[in-house]
Amino acid sequence: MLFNSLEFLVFFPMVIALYFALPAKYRWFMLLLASYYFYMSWKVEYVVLIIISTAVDFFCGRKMAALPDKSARKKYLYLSLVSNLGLLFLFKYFNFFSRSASKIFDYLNQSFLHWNVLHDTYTLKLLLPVGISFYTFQTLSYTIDVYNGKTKAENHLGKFALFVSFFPQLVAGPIERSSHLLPQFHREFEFDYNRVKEGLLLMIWGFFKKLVIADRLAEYVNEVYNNVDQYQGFYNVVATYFFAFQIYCDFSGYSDIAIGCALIMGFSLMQNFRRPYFATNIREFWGRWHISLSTWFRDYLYIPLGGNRVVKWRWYYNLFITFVVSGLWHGADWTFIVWGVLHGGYLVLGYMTQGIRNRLSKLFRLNTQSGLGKLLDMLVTFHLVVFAWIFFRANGIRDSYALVRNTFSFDMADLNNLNLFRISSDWIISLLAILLLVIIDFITERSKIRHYLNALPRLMRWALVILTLLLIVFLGKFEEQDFLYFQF
Amino acid sequence: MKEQKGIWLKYGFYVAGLCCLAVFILVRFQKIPEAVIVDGIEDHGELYHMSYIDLFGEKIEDKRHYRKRMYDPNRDINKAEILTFGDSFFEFPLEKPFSLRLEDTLNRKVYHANSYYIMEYLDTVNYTKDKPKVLILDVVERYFPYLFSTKHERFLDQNRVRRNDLYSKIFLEDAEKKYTAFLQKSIFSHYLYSRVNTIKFNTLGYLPSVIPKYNRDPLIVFHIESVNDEVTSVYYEWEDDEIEDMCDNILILKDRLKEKYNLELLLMPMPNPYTIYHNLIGDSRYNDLLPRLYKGLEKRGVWHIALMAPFLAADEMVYHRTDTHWNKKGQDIALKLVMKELASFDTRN
Repeated sequence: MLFNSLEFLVFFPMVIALYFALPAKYRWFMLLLASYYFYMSWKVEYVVLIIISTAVDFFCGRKMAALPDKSARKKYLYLSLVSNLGLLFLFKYFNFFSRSASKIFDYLNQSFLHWNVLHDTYTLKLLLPVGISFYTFQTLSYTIDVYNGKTKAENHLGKFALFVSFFPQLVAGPIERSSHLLPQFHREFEFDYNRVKEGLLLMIWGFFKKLVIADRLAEYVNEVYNNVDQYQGFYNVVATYFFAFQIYCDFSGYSDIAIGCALIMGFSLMQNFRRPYFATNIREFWGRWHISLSTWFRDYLYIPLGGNRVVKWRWYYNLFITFVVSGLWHGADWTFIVWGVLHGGYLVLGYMTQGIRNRLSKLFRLNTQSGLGKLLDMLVTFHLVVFAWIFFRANGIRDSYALVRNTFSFDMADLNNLNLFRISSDWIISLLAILLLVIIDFITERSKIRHYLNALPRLMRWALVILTLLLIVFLGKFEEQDFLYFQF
Repeated sequence: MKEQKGIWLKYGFYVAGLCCLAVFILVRFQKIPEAVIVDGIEDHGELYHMSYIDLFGEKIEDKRHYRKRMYDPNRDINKAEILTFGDSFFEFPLEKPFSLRLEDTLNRKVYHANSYYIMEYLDTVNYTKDKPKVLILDVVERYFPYLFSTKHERFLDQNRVRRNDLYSKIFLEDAEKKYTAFLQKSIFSHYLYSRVNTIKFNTLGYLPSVIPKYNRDPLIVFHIESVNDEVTSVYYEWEDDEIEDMCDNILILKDRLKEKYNLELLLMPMPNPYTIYHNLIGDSRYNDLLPRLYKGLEKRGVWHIALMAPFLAADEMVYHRTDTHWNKKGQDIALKLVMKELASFDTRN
């Protein structure tokens, strides 16, 4: 069930009405049923995977809690890691590794070995379960935290199952930590007008970003990225800029809807985006983009590898490997690995050249803290990110190579032949929507937008809400486009 | 004050929840109950139902009542003198079905089945080999590759057995489609839905992706399947080998029908509306699929009816302007040609 579907539009009010109508002690059960229904309406059978993850991690958590000695807990941690990562590997990565191994074998055989061996690529006909990367990471964080004694093991199987499957964030995050979300399932939330209002407003803004901006831009982006041999230069540049905003609006829109949904019921989910394109360096970008994932990798991969408390080369290695794995998390394809390599490379290079850049700034008396300096940093960071998005979006390595090559073969004749980007209402709406987004993000960057809204007369506030709803209805694209992050 | 505000919103959720529960249950009926459907909503072309834009909302008389006669359970396939198979052209609910027109004109029993899978169907209904009879198969141009191309053949959804138990009612397979139909046709939302779409069309030029092209004068709307990037499109560049392959597969079907059931296949490739009227919107591209198919069929001696030329030469429109199917005029032309072919068949046998 997609958030931007009629099915969800019917499902959600039913759940909310039932949630507030039921006595608090039964609500977890209703939410668990609703969450399983939410997942099963995509593919019924795959709920088994969530149940397996839940059962294994609940069991491991309980067992670990009963053991005071960390080394004795290890086997349960391994059990949890193997079962969760095993499922993830089987459903998401098996075919990728099998095909890649086969290609490597073919290459070696043809170039060096010359064995007279015939082999078939062994692949599994399995559909990638929606959200598997999200819920396995969420439940893994629980067992790792219990193992490290950072969180207590949950005693209530039902509430733990709800933690794993909570529908607002089940299929595309934010990836919650047990210490943050689990205790909330033990609390009772009354109907709070201000909280509900805030949740609804967040949902509306999320829908605006998804339906009006992301899905509108998707039409141009898909046309160019799905026909890479037909477009070049200007088209590729515009499509790639559009994709940068599409993926931001798509994913942050989803997060806003998820956070808003949960907030209406009283649950607070972690912030997942903080105006990422205002980042002045790549490190800051990752502190603003998909925060729940980047902090996950920081806590459960980068720091256990040694973080920055090691010799320099090892620190660079830790950074680099964390981003490569992050790339692989996003998808089982070489394009995602390249995307991760680029971000890891940016970061390592950034640290390596920090000293030189500081000296150059001093030499040329550049004030990097001035408004102009920050703007330049922001623009450079934005363009590095945008370049990496090419690999993220391209349909395969061949396409990404063609896109990069064709992008730089800029031809002025392109400008005379702008069939795809001809001035049309769609084109103008897209640009205006991006501008509106940037303005709102800019205001929010300086102060909470809520303060501006609250300062307005009530009538004006209502008018703004109604206007946003009307814009969604009239300018939204309602032909149900999947959220991009569903595929991860 | 805040408490009061909260109460209206809370009760608002209760009311919304109840309404949604009602909708949740309603769409799970086989057919959404008529009491909640706008009167006369079915009397429009299917392309209106894909857009709900006023411009495409011309009324077409609903002739669904003929279906009762066409699918009368007492009809016996073995007693029929002519069989008709195929797609929605023979099924189209806004015209009297072709099989019934044929039956009434010839005064001979015609049995119709809405299926492309003739051999399987005849097996299932225990059709017995008899004296030579004619089987007319209508296949719309855009579905030829799905049925006859070795490369593009695919299992069409229509033959899939659907579950109809409580489980499938709860986890509705095509829930989104049903909710959309409810939104479009129910008395609660139809007016608003069609208003919004019409305003979007008039002000922003909005068109749903399923009908990407239309012409205002004369009015005609086209479905995406004929103009997309797929093999169904009139832009798809067919290799000669691929056309030959399709014709070979048709010949195999013809021979099997003759051998197993003594049935003479009369193939009626139905032109896409876009094939006939693409010039109206200044688009001269056409992949010549039909003329090339006719040629291939001719070469193999596959009995067929070439509708393209008479449709192009017709002095009136042969398709409904807001539907992908033919109108009475189109049927008349086809009927005339079929009668001629049947007469020649009778003389031969």
